[in-house]
Amino acid sequence: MQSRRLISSVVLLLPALFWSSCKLFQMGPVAPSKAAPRATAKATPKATPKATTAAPAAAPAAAPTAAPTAAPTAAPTAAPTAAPTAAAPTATPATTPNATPKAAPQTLPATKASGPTAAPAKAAPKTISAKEARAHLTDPTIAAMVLAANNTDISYARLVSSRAERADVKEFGQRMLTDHAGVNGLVNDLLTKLNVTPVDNAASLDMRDESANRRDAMRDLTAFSFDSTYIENEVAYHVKFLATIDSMMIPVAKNAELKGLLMAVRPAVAAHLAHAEQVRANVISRK
Amino acid sequence: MRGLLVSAFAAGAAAILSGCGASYSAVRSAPAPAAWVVRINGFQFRPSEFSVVAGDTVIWANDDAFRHTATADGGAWSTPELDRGQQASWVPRTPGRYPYHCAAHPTMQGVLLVAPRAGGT
Repeated sequence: MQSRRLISSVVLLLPALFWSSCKLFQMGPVAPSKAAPRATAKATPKATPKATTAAPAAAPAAAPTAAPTAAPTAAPTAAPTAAPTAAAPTATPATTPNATPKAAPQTLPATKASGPTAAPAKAAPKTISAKEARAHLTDPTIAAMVLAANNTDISYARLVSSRAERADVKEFGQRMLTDHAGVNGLVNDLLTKLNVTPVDNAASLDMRDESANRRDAMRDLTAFSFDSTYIENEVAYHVKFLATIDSMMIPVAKNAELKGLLMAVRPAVAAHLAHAEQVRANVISRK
Repeated sequence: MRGLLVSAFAAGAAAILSGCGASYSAVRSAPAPAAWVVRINGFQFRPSEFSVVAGDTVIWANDDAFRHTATADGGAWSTPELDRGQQASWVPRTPGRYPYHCAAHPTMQGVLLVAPRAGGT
């Protein structure tokens, strides 16, 4: 009888014990859940500064490297194989797509850099048709492109007198200095007359970046290595410039005098190209 | 007497006529030297090839915004570097074929053909 009572009391106590232990167990997870927000609240402020500081650093690095690598690779490969007119459509998308995306990150304030950088990074590899590229051109941007192109070749030619070995390369370099400075004079005279200020775009900025890179590469060369590199570069440069004149500048220029100037400059660029090819053949054959 | 007068008149008339004939034939065989203009435009000599007679004057006029010359391929003669609006001339005396180019832009080329002047010079 006593054992029955004992058993029944144990049976009654067991649920009570079970219930109390469950209550304790339930309270356990509740307590940590209150502590968790404190931890995450501390963690998130630390994490976000790291993210925001990382983003601006990545953004400027991505923009310049993407732009120059795209432009030079497209131009030289198209240039030597294709005729000037054929190279035009391939060269133009290479330079112009960078135009709009590249300008955007530079003008963005630093605080916004982390957000919008994603958009240009995605836009960079996108190719824009020559028609779309032409749509972004205006007379002031064309003027800036002509000036940038001329200054590019002048900067190359300034290396020649102290580094070239061959007389024909030296003469060619001197002629580039004279003629391209002459074109700059014509463009500046016209801009003054028309009261137009040249406006840089990505294409003109790319020309400057490209010229700086190539100039640096040629600076350490002398004698035959300089002659061959310089004259090869001159052929590629004039092919690209001629293609840009034909496919973009002349068709888009609105002012009649600017268009006339471009048409007057075109034969000069074509003659320079033919001259450069002639000198290149001499340089290669007399190696 | 009358016969003498008639023959004298006839001889005079013949002399005058023959003299006229002689001067006419001289004009035909040796015309006055002419002047020809070669325009330099769009990095080309226009016309790029043309003929003159020895003793004629050839003028190169530069219409380009760039400096050019007309220089014999062998370097025997040359104009100075011509700015836009400037011109220079040369008088070929010896018949022959004269290829020339622009010293500043060697891919610009022209040919001058000089024929002998009739009657010899």
